Amino acid sequence: MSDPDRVSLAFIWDTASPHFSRRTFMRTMAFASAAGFVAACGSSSKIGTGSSGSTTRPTFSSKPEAKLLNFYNWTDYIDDKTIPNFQKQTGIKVVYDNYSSNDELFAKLTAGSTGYDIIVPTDATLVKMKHANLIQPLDLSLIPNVKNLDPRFRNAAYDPGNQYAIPWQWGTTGIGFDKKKVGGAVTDWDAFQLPNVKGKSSFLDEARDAFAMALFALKRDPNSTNDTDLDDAEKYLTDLKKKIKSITSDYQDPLKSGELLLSQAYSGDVFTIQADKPNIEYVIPTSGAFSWVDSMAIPKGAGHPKNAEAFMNYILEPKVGAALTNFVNYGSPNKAAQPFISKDILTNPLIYPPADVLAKLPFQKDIGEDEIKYSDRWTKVKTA
Amino acid sequence: MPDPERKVEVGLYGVTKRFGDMVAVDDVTIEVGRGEFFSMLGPSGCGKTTSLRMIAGFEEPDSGRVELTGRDIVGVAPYKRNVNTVFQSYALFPHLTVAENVAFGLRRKKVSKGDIRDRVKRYLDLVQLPGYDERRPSQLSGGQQQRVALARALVNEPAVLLLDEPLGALDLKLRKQMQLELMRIQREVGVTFVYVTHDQEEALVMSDRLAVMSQGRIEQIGYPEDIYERPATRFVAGFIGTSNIIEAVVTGRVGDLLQVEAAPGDRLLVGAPEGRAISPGDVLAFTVRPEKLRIVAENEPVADRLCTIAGTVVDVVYQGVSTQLVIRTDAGTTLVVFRQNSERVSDAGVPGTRARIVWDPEFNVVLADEPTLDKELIS
Amino acid sequence: MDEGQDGLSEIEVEARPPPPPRRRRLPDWITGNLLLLPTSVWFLFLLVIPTLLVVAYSLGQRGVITPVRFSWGHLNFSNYNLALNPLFLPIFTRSIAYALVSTIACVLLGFPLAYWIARFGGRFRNVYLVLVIIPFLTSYLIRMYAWQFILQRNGLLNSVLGAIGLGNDHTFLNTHFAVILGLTYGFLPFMILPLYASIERMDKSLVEASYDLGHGKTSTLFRVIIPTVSPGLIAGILLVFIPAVGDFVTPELLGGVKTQMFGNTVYDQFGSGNNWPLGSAMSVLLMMLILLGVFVYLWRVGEEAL
Repeated sequence: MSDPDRVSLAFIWDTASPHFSRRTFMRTMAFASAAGFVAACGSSSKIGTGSSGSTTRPTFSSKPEAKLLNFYNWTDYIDDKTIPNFQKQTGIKVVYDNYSSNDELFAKLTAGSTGYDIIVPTDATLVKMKHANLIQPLDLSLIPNVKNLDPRFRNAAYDPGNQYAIPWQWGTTGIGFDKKKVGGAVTDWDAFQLPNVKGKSSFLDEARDAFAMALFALKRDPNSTNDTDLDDAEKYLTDLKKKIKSITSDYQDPLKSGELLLSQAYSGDVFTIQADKPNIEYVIPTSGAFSWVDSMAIPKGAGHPKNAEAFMNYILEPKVGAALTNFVNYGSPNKAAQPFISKDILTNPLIYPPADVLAKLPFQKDIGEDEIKYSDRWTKVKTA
Repeated sequence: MPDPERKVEVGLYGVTKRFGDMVAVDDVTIEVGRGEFFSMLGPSGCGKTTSLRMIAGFEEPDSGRVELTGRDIVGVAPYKRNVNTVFQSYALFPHLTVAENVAFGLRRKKVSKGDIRDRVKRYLDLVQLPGYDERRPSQLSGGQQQRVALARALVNEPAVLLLDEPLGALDLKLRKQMQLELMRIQREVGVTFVYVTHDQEEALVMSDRLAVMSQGRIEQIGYPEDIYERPATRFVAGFIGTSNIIEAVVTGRVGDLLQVEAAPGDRLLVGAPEGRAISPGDVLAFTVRPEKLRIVAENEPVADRLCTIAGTVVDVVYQGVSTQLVIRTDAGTTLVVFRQNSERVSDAGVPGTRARIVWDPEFNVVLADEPTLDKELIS
Repeated sequence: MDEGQDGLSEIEVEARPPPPPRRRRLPDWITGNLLLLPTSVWFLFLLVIPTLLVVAYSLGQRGVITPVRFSWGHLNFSNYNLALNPLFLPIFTRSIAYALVSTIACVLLGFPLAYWIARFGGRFRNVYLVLVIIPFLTSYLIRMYAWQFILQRNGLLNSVLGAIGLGNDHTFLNTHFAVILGLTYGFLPFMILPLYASIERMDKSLVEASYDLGHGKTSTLFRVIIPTVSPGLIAGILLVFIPAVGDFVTPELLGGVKTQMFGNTVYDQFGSGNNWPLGSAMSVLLMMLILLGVFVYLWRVGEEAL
């Protein structure tokens, strides 16, 4: 059972379900655990690499690499031509495999070396992985195209200087809602107070995302570690909890079915729903929202880091990056790609917000041990 | 044939019960007198247990009446009938102690706690299980469980006690002992017993009267000695004990006896059955019990009034109290003879010897059913 | 006499064939224990060691980078203190209440069904049992999703109610009702199967004996049938209650903001709550509580009833 040839169980599931979102969590748990087991079986021979905890690359990496790249990405998150073109250009064979949640990805990496060369975690998970020593630093000399990145992504809070990751696509964590039923204008986080949505709304089951919502609404720093700020945010969420239906990251189907009328949501998810149900809309709240960004990173002990870096460099090419964005409809971190990105996307303020809005879309910051301040308050919010 | 001296306690009148296509009980009429020990006897599937269950109320008849002390109880729920049952499996409640089992029925009635205790003790004494109150059924032997089941039923002082093959699960010795025990208890409490068994000896020993059933029908009702000595049908003759059945054509009359066809030198005389016109040429089936037959030397003179047949001994089985001899007559009939081993036996006990059978015609019983003219032995 | 005996034994000795070559056999106790070996290994690796790990975690320090720091020198009991924080009491009570109500519902639904199959199922009994088991062949998660689709606002239940004129805009999902329904549905077979086994084994004449002794249907049910099948009933109750009280999938999928169960709180401690030692301590406490209940039961009622 060698890793690269394995067909992910999650992948099988995905092909059967076109609306499957990259952030759906619970549904894939059953499959994820099975896949995790498979992964554990398949990876036993590779255990022992890169466990030193050092951040330098193992010495043997200077040896020439096999022409192979094991790419582990979110489902439905790539242009059909991206990989074939790369293979043609470099002669490196890409084995492509999918996952559907950060937790799945994290669990797999924690369980042991997986054989993957590139993974695409979301910023918060990337930070977790960095702390858990699951990813290795990049050799930026092999990625000259990093200059093509929008400056916003060169020194982002989650990974200053692109030490560990090259961004793939980005979006925002705002509000998805049913414009026909909410009974009012949805512009900011206070939309949860609309009478029509009482008992029919949800916020995310992620401590930082939920607290950020509260902190934005309270006009505080969304990455605050100040106890007063967090206490106020906790109270805000506890009060808000009384008016909502659920705390969930699995809001797509309920939003589609009308079970939920308004949800704290990731932009991409809402666009996916919108393709099916046009009355579902997305808004970036005026008081601000987190930006999220999925970035390519190399797991510790990856067998083909140079191939990975070559791939990253390839993605950063303007036309490649543009084609990717044109296909998946998310924002591209690649500034040089913009001339090739379709006008529809570029003029969509929800994907490419104007500068004044962009200023209010910070990234989630790595706050280290202070994460606990969020965790404990989050437990209190959830059990209240 | 109920005892006219007694009041009828249980009556089944024209009762029929079907299960699907099968007729389990077919137009059965039985009257059981108060205080009587009445048995229903027959092979399995004869309808005896179904009849009992209709008295208990576990089955309802498709037609006919079931009466208890003069009241029609068809449709009355089992728990409202003043009868109690001793089940074949005993059906003791495994989660209750012996005392709780016995007291189970009393809890439903308006009996005070003290009275319950007294009565439980009295009936456990009656069944000779004093001091077993706190045991669990699983801690008792089969015989002891049987006694608890009996006490549990009797303690309610029902009008009728129904017993469904209660001794079926016991070994022979215990069964004999419990038979006597049941008879003693029945005499002591005076309750009407309706007793179902397939064991003919048990029925004969214990019952005041019994009904023999076959294929859902009553074959004969009567006192044990009636049933044994004067079986009404071929089935009864065959089911109870061992019988010789002889079928022959009536040839004439000798005094008030009928003479039937026999080989030269033999003689068969039968009392004419009541209420049935018999004329020469009719075929008649009659039965005679093996112990009524005597064996003499072939050439020994026989009195004119006796029946006699000559034949050859084909089989001799020593049985302790008696010896069973099987004799094939010259006419081809096979007859069984029981000879008491009261004295040293002679050479008549060797297969192949010739012998003559002699018996008093008064022991011949004409069977009610139509003869088939198949000359056979039923045992 | 002595002589004769001696002679006899001599003959016997002479006549005895040479003893067959003794096959080397392991002593019985070893053979017996060898049979246990696979199970023991299984238990050791999948039950004992994970349980010990959970206990060890519960005595560790939390961390952000490594989730648990455990050292024999610093056993940290404060997690238990925290786990017993009154903050969690409402959730704990709710879990018990959900599990209890679901268990009762399982008894009320499962008992008549098990009784019917055992007593009146006839030759189709096994077919009915298979029908009871069939939902099990599908993942629990998938079945809960199915309930989501049935219960959601534009779901099956609302359409059916709408079609018969009872309105099609009822809220079912994310309610206490939905969670209890899910738990009941999910664990019902665990109630039916042991109950069926007990009822099927019960001597039918016990019921008749009870009627015969003057007890009506209700009294017979409570005084005879239930006590007699109590081993199956209790097994069923334990098999439903224990997984139900610790469940987190059902409230996650069918519940809402007011239906969190203890299992969710424990689960969260390993996720967003980021406190593995606390989550472990909570699991250990829940486990001990359930074990305590089982032991009290065994002590009161005795092993045989289990």
